[in-house]
Amino acid sequence: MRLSVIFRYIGIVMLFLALFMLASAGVSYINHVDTAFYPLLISFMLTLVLGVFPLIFVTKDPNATMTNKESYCIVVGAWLLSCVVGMFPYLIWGGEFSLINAWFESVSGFTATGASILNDIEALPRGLLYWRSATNWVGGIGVVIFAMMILPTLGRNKASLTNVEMSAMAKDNYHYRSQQLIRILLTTYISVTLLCMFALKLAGMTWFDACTHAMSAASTAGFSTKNASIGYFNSPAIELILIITMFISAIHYGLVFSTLTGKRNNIFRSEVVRTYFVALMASSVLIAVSLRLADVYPTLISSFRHSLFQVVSISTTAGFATADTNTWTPLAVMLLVFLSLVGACAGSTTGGLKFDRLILAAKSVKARIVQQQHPNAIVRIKIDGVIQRTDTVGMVMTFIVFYILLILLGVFVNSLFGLDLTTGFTSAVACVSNVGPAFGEVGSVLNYSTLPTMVKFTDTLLMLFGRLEIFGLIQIFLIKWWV
Amino acid sequence: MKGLRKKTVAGFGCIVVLLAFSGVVSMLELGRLSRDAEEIFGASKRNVELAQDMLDAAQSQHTALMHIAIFGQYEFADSCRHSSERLAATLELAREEIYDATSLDSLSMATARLATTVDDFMAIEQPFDRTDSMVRANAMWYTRQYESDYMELHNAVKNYITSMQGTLAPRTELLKKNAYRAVMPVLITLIVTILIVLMLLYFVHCYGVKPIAELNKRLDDYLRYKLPFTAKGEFVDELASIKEQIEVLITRNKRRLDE
Repeated sequence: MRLSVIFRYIGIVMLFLALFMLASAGVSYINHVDTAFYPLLISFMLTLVLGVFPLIFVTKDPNATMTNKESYCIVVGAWLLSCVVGMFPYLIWGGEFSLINAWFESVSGFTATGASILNDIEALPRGLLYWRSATNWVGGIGVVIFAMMILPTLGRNKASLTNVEMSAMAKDNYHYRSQQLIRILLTTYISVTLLCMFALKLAGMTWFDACTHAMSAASTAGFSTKNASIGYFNSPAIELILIITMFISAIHYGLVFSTLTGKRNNIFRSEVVRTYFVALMASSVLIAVSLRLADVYPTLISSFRHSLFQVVSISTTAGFATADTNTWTPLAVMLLVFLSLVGACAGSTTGGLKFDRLILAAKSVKARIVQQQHPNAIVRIKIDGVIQRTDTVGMVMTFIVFYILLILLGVFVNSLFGLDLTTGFTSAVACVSNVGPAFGEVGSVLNYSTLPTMVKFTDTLLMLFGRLEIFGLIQIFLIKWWV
Repeated sequence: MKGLRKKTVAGFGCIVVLLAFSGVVSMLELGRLSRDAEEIFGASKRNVELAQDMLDAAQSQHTALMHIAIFGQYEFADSCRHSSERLAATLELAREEIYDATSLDSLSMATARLATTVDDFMAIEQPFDRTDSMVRANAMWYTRQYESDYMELHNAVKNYITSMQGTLAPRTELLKKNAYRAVMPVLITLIVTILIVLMLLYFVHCYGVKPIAELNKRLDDYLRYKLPFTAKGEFVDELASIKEQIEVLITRNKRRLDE
């Protein structure tokens, strides 16, 4: 394994982050040089030096191929170092940001989780608020995919990096070359963000709020600039725009691109998207009816308005809030926890198990039953008419088992430090699935500030495991793999 | 960037820049911290000075009035007026200088009330030969009307001192935060510098020490045991050219021996 090559590509990612820090410092400067200006400027300079340094020594080798291990190390290293560097502005600024709080906020931002430790978000200067949203935006699509776009000379190395960055199922569906794939991802991502920003502005937000919320919504992360999240605006138009943005961002980006360019392989023909849409609508209606029956909201329409927003927000793993879901009915809580666990579609910016895996697992169970009834039959599992390979099915099953084990581990640690079962379980699910808000002490209108330090640290590990689809990070801890 | 010299200079340059940056940031932050601390101490000192001035003025007015009202000594009238003006001027000064002017409202009211009481008294024409009833009336005014107003002013000044000291607490809290801010950039810069030094160590080993050791070993093998010169590893810049030149020399040497 060539460490120098790893340093070089991580350095490029750092340069990319430095650019965003400079942009945040710019926002700070425009806002009468607020208190975040110097912290952001200092962080920018330090990140810039960290990024430039390896480039001085390691020259590019266009003919060299990157090994799988090197790719893993670049992705995981870049992600971890981004989280460390992302802490700098928070730590220097001070306020509520202790070391663990800054780490939590940074990891939560880059993993697009959107969980916060801040009691008073509105007390933050605009530069820092913009930086929070920027970490969401960068993290949403993947630090490495972004960095590769500014690497015109990476050549065939791109393929190995994208293999690590995106789930294998997502890659199966794209059918594009890596370079084209990255272009598609970025074009769709930037377009969705810009469209959402303009729509939010038209709906009555300020430019700053529109920009930060669009970045958070497109990345399905959920950082808001207001303490009451989206509930602060109390606007059905804003909620509708965010619902549409979150929903689009939760669908396979390749399918969104195909739909927009009029290709045959579009979202309307996708079995996964159809199932996901039906699940969302059914959950929203069920929750709305249960809320109305329990008299939580005065009318069925207002119940549906809140249930639809929360269902889309939770299932897309964004985590924006318009209502205190802690006061909702047990049925609503159960459905929301289930949606947190599952997430949305592979190939999107969302976290969670993904509907693709769930469908495949369900079909695999069905196939097993059929196989038991007809031992000599050859039962094939298909998604969108494509026969799925046995190793893909096996991989999905292993992933689900690991996912559940990870959640149980999270619940164990949370219980060990005195958290009640609701908070412990739902926060573990919310962190692994990169949702953010959960239930109990960390409900939709609350935050993670009251949790013990060790729980906060464990939660950040869960977020990283969830974001890197477990296996991406787990390899780093296996000594044998290094040899 | 090409060339070992350039790379080494740039690498060490980065470290120097970081260390200088850390120094500058710590100087700036500590300077700011010192200014903030000075400002808080200065505000506290000024607050006490102003309160002392007010109390002095009130005390001197009080003494003058006592002489006028009880003993009928009208030569103290100027002293009384002067003290009253001094009190009003100090109050105005405090209003201009202090951090939170709202804490002066009760003091202003007490001063205004006392001034009215004194002015009303001074406006009454006092005959040169005072009767006992007049002396009694003056004494009555002094104990019933003036003394309560004076005590009110006295208390207001005391409140002003305590409330001003109270407002210093959040500023001191801010100072604590500033101390945290002063240390943090330096600490982070030092961590980044350590990372850079470790990377530099790796790069120097990877692109400097290791290739030289490899060249040395292979050259030694060739000269001692006539083993073929096959240096492996990453050779960049001058070291790549040295390797090539050694290979050329060996080839020439071989050709010469063959001839």
